[in-house]
Amino acid sequence: MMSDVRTIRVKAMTRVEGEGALHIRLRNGRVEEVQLNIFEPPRLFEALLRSRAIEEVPDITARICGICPVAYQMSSVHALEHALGVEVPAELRRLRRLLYCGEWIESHALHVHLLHVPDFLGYESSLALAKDFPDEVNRGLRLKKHGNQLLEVLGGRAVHPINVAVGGFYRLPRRDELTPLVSDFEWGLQAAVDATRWIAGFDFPDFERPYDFVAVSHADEYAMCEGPIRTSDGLVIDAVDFDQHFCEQQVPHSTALQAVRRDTGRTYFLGPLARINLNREQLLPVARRLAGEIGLEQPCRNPFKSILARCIEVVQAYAEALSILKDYRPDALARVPYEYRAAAGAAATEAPRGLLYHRYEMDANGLVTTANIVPPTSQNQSQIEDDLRDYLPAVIEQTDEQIAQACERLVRSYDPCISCSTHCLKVTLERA
Amino acid sequence: MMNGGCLFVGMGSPYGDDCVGWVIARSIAGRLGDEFTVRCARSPAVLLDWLDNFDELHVCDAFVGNGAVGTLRGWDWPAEEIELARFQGSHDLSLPAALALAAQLGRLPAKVRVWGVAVGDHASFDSMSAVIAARASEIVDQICGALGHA
Repeated sequence: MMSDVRTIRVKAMTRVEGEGALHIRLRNGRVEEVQLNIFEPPRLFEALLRSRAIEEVPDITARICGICPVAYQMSSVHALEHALGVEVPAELRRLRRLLYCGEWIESHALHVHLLHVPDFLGYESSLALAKDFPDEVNRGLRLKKHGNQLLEVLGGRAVHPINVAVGGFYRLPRRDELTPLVSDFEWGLQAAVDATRWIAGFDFPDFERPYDFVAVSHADEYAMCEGPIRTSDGLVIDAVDFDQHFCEQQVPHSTALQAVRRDTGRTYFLGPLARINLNREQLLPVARRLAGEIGLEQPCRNPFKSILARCIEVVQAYAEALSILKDYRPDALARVPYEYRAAAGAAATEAPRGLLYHRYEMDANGLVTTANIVPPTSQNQSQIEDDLRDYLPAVIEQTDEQIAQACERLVRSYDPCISCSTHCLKVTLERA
Repeated sequence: MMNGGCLFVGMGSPYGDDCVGWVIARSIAGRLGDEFTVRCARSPAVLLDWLDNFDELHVCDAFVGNGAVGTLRGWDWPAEEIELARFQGSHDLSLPAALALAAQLGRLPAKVRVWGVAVGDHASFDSMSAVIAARASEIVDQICGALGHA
């Protein structure tokens, strides 16, 4: 009997950060193969960090991504401070959260309004969307601008900020640099609430999966920079034990490593939806109320509703940023002094796309001897492929073009940052 | 509210010939009058943050396309050539996409001119190539002349 093979290729996925492709093979109406092809060249950042002074690490790792550089800076300084035994004072800690709020706002606002909303309203691009929804797109762009403004004031510039130091900051902002942002952020908080209500009215595909959600968690705050790693099946571990519970593996079709749980061999889900599911009680009241108002399930297992979780987090970030902006008083100390020692340290923080793990070893002269960076998109990659295998039967009767669009839409739910994920290819060189 | 000012943006990065937009912008800053605000940017998307209150926009960027390396081209928006020229960068919004989005939203200044400097079709993480470096001051003169600040 002749077998009926359909091959669907999305040669270059659009409206994602970086460059990747999708390969799907169907045989006799069944899904035979799904591959998220990551073909961006490896960037080898871990190797670049070896023998560099630890003070260079936050600025070097920030170059991994132009969208989420703060995440790389935060995971790196927290890991290095863990190795050095440095405790950052409360006011500096708040400033770091403020900087992270800026990144969440600019990254989420960009993805929600320019990359993802067009999927829900049937537009092929943000340009086409802007023709019919100019006010909503302008609102999203203004939110993104606010995030960038925070990064400029606190980080020195919006892309690849330069003010984050091991132990704190190189320079603290003056109060008169932050307070002018208050009125914009008051407008932004209400605009973010309005945007969430608008998007909550969209139609969402009926698709749920039994995910294993993973996120940093904290008893007293919505986790960004600190706290143990929690999973939805009850595991609670320190970040330093990440490698004991999660492992990366190489697959032939991707320059990025993929990740699975070590104990179960299962894929897992990172990002705003995981965070909201695991940390909903720690949301600030305005964000928690809004999640209830729009009917976001607890837990929500529909990946297409990640856009709602992203919107809630924009509200959360505005509310927290406002409270910090309003009562900020510069500390006398910009950064905590430390002494070099041979040590190892690890940390996980919450990048806009999910948990970002860094681990470093350093020598007694403050030089990096080993670096390991596990970005969220590479961890989500095998989860995305699992999702696609499960989702395809529901759309398999559609045309190839429709199937490709449906699958791209599902991939975009994860807001993948492919450039980030491709720094971690393990290269083996054999010489005859 | 328009203030009648002109915004000149050098687009690029510190790497290789992609930095030519920044080099031109920095050189040009001292030669243009007070009506010009000169800035450098890595991402075209940031134009959407900066456009308000200007009624004239100039963007200088490296591009890959027809013409000898080091050639300066100038196009008034909208122009098909801007779509066809390959401006550097694969992430975020491209320069043509950012301009098109601004136009769609009614936020693009009345006059927009894109200055493209032709560069080779390769990535370099060293300094600017000798060809581009040798041409830079001449390109600055050409743009200043076109803007009435020869």
